[in-house]
Amino acid sequence: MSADDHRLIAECLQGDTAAFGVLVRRYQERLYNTAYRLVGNAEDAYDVVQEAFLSAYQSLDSFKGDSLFFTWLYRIAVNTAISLKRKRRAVVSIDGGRNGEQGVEAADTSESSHPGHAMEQAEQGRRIHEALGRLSAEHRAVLVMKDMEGQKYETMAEVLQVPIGTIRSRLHRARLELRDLLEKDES
Amino acid sequence: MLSEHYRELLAAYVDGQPSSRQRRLVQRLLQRSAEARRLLQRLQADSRDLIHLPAPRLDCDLAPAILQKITAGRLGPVRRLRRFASAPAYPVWIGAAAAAAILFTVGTASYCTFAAFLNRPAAPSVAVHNQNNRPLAVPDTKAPDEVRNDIAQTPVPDPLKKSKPDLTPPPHEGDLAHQKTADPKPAAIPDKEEPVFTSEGMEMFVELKSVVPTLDVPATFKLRDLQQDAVHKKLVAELQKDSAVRLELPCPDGGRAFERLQAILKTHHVELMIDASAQRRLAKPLWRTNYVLYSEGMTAAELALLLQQIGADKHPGEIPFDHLVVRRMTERDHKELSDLLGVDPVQIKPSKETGAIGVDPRKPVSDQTAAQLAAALAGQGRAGAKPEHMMLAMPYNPVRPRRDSAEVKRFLDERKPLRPGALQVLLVLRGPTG
Repeated sequence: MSADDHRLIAECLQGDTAAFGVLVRRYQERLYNTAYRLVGNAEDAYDVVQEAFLSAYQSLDSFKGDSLFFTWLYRIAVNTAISLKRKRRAVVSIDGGRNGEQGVEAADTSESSHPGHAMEQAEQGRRIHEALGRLSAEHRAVLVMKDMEGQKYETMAEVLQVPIGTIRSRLHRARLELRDLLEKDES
Repeated sequence: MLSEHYRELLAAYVDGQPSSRQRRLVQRLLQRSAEARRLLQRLQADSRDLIHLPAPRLDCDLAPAILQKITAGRLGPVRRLRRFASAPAYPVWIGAAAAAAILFTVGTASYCTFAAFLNRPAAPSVAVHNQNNRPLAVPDTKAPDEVRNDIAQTPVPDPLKKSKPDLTPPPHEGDLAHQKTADPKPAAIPDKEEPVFTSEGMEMFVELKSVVPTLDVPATFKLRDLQQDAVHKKLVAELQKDSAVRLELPCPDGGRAFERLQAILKTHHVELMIDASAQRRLAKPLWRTNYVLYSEGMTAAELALLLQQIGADKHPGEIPFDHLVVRRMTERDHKELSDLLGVDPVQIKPSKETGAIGVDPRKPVSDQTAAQLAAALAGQGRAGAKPEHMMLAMPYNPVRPRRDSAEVKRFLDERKPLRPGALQVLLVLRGPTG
């Protein structure tokens, strides 16, 4: 944990809410990215991030400093998102707009000189995003953490509080399930 | 279509997870299976697509909203008691001392309790059969040496004499002389038995003595010895102890034993009804089978004679039995019998006698005529000498009883009222595996 985080946490514990505001601004973007990928829409992602920060603030006293503050915060956010996803399992949300915005931003077409290629990429992204939303919370979490955020197995095991072997097998099954969903979509 | 195992291997291959053996397996699979190659390519493409999914951007600052909620809800970090992190409120040695004190108190209390129990003024620790109500040993008033002398002078009953307890000391000259001088008038032998305690705590054997006669201990006889009158009488007496007995005839070869028993039963005019499954098993001598036979109507004397016959007439080596075990039927035996026959014939007595000419008035005449005709045709009719008793034979399998056989039904149908002194006998021919 960085010395700065440590100092801010100590100030929070002394009742300085402004110090916590600094911590929120420091990590909100990263947490939002994760939350968005896990829950699939911006509105829920906002809720998850807010809930995670509030939970973290309330249990700040239990933070021992054994791991990075962000890892601890990340664990809270992931678990909050998984809980939310489980609650809304029956509802498959494919729009993710907040105030009408798109769930997945359009691909940066400037990188490709071929307009058709950009459209294909956007279409593929949409399909992946949809299929991801239909995965179970656990499978989605491992795919997001491994592929999209590049987490190590150890970190994933720590965050999800399961053995590394479980993470591996869960990841394999998640890939196959995603593939099956995409094939169904293609057909 | 690839199996789930191969699909998972390929998924693991995407993550770079497989072991070297699995990697070789996947490479061989990829060489020979186009489907595997296609799946691997797609899984890799999916992974790439996931990696390249655009990251969403947070378009507002969440901090004000979160801080507002904290302020509005008056939320704050929950202070938890850190019991283990904080230093204990008292030194460790105080805890150890308290534990030692508790142990000491418990130990002392236990010692005092048991010491008081052991020192209680008990009944005489050494006593003799005292027919004149004269205490020969009073440990509370005598010195230990005197007590020891009393023990030495205590007459010990001879265990070999069973009829009446002989309380005279062993015929040792010194002892006799001593007794003459100490007690010129020996006490008369009492009529009733009284408990003899040789040490403290022996009182419990009085209770045990009252329990022993109720124990149902099987009696074992050597079949060869049944030729002797004394043993034969003992067997009769044993059989007469109850109206329902269980006999066990251990035998090395169930089939051979059955043949021997069958021959003896025939000479004693006992009709043997052999269950169809038992007949099948008898036809296969290699099948090791235990058999159970049930009979009612024979008296103890008749049964003893039959058993005597089993162990006679042949050279000892040719007799397929050696021992006979006799015991009263227990609840378990009743249950076993009920399972084998469908009813417990010991509990459910035979119905009233059929008509004088052997006709059951409860059944239509045509039915009985048909049954008799069928029995006669099957060679089990009543032509010739009428058997005095019936015996039912079945394979002995208490776990899977076959109570639906025709022989069992016939046996139950033809039961006669028990005459006085008749026994209900469960006879088991038990082989070495039984």
